[in-house]
Amino acid sequence: MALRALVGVKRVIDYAVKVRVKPDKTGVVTDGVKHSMNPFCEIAVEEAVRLKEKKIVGEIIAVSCGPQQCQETIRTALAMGVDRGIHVDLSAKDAETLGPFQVSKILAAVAKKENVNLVLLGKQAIDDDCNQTGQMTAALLDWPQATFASEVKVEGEKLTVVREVDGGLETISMKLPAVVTADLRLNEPRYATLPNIMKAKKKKIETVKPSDLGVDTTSRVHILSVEDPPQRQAGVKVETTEDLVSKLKESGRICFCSVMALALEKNRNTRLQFRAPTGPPSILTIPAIAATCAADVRGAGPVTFRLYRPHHPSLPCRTTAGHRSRL
Amino acid sequence: MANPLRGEVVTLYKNLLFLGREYPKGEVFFKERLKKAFMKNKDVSDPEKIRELISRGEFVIKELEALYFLRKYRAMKQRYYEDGPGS
Repeated sequence: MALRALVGVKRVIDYAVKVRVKPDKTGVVTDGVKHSMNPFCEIAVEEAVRLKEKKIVGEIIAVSCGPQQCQETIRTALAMGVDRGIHVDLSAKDAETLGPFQVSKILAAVAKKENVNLVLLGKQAIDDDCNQTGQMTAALLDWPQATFASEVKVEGEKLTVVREVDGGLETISMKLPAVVTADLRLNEPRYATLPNIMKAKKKKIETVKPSDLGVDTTSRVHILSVEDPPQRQAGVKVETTEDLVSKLKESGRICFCSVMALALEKNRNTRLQFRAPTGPPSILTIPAIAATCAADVRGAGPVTFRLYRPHHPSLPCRTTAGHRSRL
Repeated sequence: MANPLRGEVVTLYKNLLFLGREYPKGEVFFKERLKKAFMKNKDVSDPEKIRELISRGEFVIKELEALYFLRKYRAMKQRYYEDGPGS
């Protein structure tokens, strides 16, 4: 039996555009900014199209919620090989407050109405980075879900999905119908070429209102303010090593130990008796001390080190006055 | 004048123009070069040679698509995955 697949596509600000925050901090500037399909949705579309090419999926339907311009995004999906589109029409004002919860309600309603067995979505959108729509859609439909999919296999009524989890991969098996959200490594989406976009113009896009689906799209989230990430401070140019060392000390970026290491850089073989907050003293070269300081004793307590004079092997470790430093 | 391959050449030019809209260095940069490349060969009349040039143009299309895909993939990878560029 051929499956029916539903893919969600979101129209977002193009990934290559530098996003600017509105001066009144209510959101980001979207007027006159290039928009395109969310890259993760592209991956979901591509997966649906590949399943169709393997004759596993019979029909693919693309859904997008938002203003009139969303039809362009649906058109791109159609050009990639989707059969027909559904545009859930919202006014620009409503679309702005639309969150993952409302979208998942719409998707669930469409999935029921169109009688689909597989819902394919991107794991998250690159504009709000919510990563909730797939999960909530699965919950509303009471279907199993496979998030962050990096491989999808359909065997009869069963779905085997490899998921990207922290530090590895997880393979799960589930019954259809199911919701799958695509991760970056699932596939390489094809490009919607001009001839295909032209051909896609013949495909049908149905426009519905959320009310036709029986969905209330009022948002329960109120955006207080949208702000830019902190600006990166400009760098300074230094002329000499001493300059660098003093600048670094000023900014508190390095400890005394590394300062000394830097100052003695000319003679890298000078060895110091080095005593970390824990453990016995050891005699190390400067680079080794610098590495140790960076690695494990930072913040653990005071460190002492003394200059080690190897020229008098008979003397028990003659040292200069010790320096104490807090890392 | 009425070259039977004219249609193909025009389609190729249109497809390349469409792809150029996303070119990282800007559409204008791409357009200029595209036009120059086509004008350079405007006097070619040998059908064999024209076919060869068309296949080269199609190769460029493939390359551009690959370039855009990689660019997007790398951007996503950098933004959302900690292990940095390359895999």
